[in-house]
Amino acid sequence: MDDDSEIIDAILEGASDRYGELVDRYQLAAWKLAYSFVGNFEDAKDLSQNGFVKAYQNLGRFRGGSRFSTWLYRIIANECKDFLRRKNRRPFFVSLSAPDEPEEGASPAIPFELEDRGNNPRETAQDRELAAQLAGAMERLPMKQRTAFLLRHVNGLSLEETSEAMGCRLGTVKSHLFRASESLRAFLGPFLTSQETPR
Amino acid sequence: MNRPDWQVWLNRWLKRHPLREPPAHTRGEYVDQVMARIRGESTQDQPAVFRFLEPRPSLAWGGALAAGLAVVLLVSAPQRNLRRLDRDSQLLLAAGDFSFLEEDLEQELQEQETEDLVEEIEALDAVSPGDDLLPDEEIPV
Repeated sequence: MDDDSEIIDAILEGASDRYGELVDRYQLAAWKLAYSFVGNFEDAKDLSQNGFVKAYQNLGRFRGGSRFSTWLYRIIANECKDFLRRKNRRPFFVSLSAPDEPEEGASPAIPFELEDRGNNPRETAQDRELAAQLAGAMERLPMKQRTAFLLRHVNGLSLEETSEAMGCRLGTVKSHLFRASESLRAFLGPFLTSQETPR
Repeated sequence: MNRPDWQVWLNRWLKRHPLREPPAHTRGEYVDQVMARIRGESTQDQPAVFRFLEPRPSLAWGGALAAGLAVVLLVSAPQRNLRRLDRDSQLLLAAGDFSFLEEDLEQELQEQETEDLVEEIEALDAVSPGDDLLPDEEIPV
């Protein structure tokens, strides 16, 4: 945080090129955060880069009381939410032929790393199915619960960081997380009970 | 699965299956692209980060715009009325028939005369108000 503050002070004094250091430092986390929302790397890259540009444009308003990273994550999360709202608002542009089928060759959007189980194709398929179910269940969560869950559990932020990034109190974050977890349990319960040994 | 088991299972699953990482070969250009966008968007003037220091233009511009609009409306309204009056009179002149105006004027004058007469009578009454209150027998024959 001290390093970030020092760079930010330098940028505000005119050394705008030093912003590259901040971009370099947080690019992976920012990209992954956007990816956890939108599920494809190209859009995630654009959205996270938009977030960096907006953060730069508003750097003067950044309050040193919070971390630059959580402030940036907040901007990116908002970018992603706007993107998803716009995307959900354009049903008229969806092709009328085979509307629910993914493009040929495209794999379903599973944002998680899957283990290669080598000679056990059944377990590999189970893993894949479970990851797809979880991804689908996360998409159905209300946006605030989804944001809290993605920041905390998928992107690994602490509770305090999640609270800062969402701009709400710790108790509210805990409440969102609890509800998200319960909703996921309800979504995945039937699927998990049908599995012999849930992993 | 009960709640505690579910929490344990979910945490363990997410640790074993972390979020996928973006392709490594595209990461190098990421910083350059952001910096290019920033330079492209802030070459016209000072770096954008300093813009907040300047007086906010929105209020001043809004006030100036409102004042300008008010001046335009104030100046244009009488002129617009004059233009309309002029146009109407030209139309009447072109039509050339004023008889309806004369009739109206005559009627108006007559009404005015009647009103004046009534007022005069009332004024006389005011000067000698008791005349019509005298008992019949006191009226000189």
